[in-house]
Amino acid sequence: MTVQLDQVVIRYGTFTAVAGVTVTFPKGAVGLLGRNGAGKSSILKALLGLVKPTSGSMRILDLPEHASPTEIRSHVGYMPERDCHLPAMTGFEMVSVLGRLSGLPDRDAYRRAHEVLYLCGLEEQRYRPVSGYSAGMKQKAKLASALVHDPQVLFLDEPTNGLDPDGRAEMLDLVRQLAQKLGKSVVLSTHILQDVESVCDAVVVMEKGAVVAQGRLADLCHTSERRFHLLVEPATLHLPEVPRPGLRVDALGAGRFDVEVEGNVEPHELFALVQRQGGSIREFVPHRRSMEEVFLGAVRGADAEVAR
Amino acid sequence: MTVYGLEYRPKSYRPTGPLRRLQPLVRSEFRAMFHGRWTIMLYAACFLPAFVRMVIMLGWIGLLPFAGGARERLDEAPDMVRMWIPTAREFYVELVVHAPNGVFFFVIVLTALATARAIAKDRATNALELYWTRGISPFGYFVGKWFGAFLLLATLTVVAPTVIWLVGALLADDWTFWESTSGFVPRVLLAQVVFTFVLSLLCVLVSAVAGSANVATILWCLMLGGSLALSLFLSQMMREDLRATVSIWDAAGTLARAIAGMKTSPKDLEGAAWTLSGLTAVLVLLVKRRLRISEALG
Repeated sequence: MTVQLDQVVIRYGTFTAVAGVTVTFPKGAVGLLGRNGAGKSSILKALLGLVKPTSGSMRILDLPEHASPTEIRSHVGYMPERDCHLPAMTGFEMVSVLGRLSGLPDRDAYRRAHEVLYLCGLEEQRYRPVSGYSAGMKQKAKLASALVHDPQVLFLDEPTNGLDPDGRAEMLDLVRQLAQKLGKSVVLSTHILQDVESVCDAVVVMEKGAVVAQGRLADLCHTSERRFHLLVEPATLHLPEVPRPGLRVDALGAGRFDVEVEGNVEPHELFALVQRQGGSIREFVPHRRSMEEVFLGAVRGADAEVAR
Repeated sequence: MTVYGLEYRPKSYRPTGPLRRLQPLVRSEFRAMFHGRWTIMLYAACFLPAFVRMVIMLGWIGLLPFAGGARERLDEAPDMVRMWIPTAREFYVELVVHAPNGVFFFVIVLTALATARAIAKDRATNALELYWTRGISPFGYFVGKWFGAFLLLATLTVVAPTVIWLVGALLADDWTFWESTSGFVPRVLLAQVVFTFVLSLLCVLVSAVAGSANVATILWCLMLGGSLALSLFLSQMMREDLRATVSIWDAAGTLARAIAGMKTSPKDLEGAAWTLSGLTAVLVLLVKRRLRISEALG
């Protein structure tokens, strides 16, 4: 466990942004998904000690429950969503200044600033003013700033915001490296489902200030039905819709089929069928729900709950 | 070779204390005037009044030839000329606080270009979000900015007069100059520090209140220059000297003069105290609102 929230309520005046959230963020990369206004940013701000929850408790790493915000922030790296930089500073100056503000001694801050700028791929641009950076470079500079004091936990708020496809892939690759190679716990707050799917091991879905789904990505995307994707050759091969009771085949075109198996029927019975039709199997994989299906399912479930 | 090749090196360190963390803020604020060639030249030009005083000092101690008997004539000069006599405390205090003959215009330039823009610029570039999600509090951030501004302004209002006095005290032929001036120097120094402290505080508060760097600059210039012009106008109208009460600069100057042990009327001092404390209170209330976390972070 890296971050734990227990019955956390956050109110701004009369508006309830987070309504009694209980959630545990495990180690590794965790996606914090939700539509705009779902309460993601409020949770991040509360975890950073910028907003005091109205009620409930939060724990980060092994820090005591009532640790001061500055103590919490020295163990946590935060990459803001908005375009932000320190005026009139180069990338190196910005990262080293933010490192020293996080409690790094001067010498270590300078050394670490070079290292993390290298890590984020800004080695060539580190002595250029940040105000002249492209959107992708600014995002990388923000990530380097979040990493400079070597935090165990990283909160990344929309890290691929405003990036072109190449920049996005690069940023996601970096985030993946941080979680998988460098052992950081990453909380990735976003509303881009593909980002979460490609980087995260677990996901927390929020809607209207509440958690509507959470768990490992593999578990959430796994379906209990026995459904498979089948790819055959030749692509023109025709398979009957119901070859036998308990076996249902939907043609998707170009040699692709959706196969649903019920009861005692074994999937390998299909192999014989394909062979009999004069084809061969190229791919036969269990069906996996997409992140979009998981997200929409959870959010619609929450909407239906509210309607009831 | 990148860190990928070197492998990421986790860093174990003993975190620095809260005061040490403010150092980079203070430093960056202090350096605000030293980023470009033009701002450095402007900063150097701000020392013009101090340079004039330095020339007078060098003449006074005999290192520069002074026009025939000027020293003797200055010795017998009336009160209003005392600000040009190096053995009088007015020489050091009025260099800073006297609007027409002191550093008034240069302080406006310096603060308008650097200090007044400090927090407003951070807000415009969303830097507040980067600062406040670090190991410092919004209050610590404000203090860091203020102290940086204080140091920058102090080079003009505290360091320059002190250097002039030290030159006189150390280079004079005998100890007469030292003996006649060392008694009032600590109070003069304190007066200059308080004056700088008040002005830098007001300037950083204005910067925190303003919506943008340009608005902050205009607001600050209007506050200093505008209040001085208004005070002169009202004084003319009402046939009473209202500068200490209406002009922010003169209010801080009156306070400094009193601390330095110079003649000030109790009425002026009271008016100055009310003006400064009232303005500070109003600005603090506004800043508390403007520097709220939700306000600054959206």
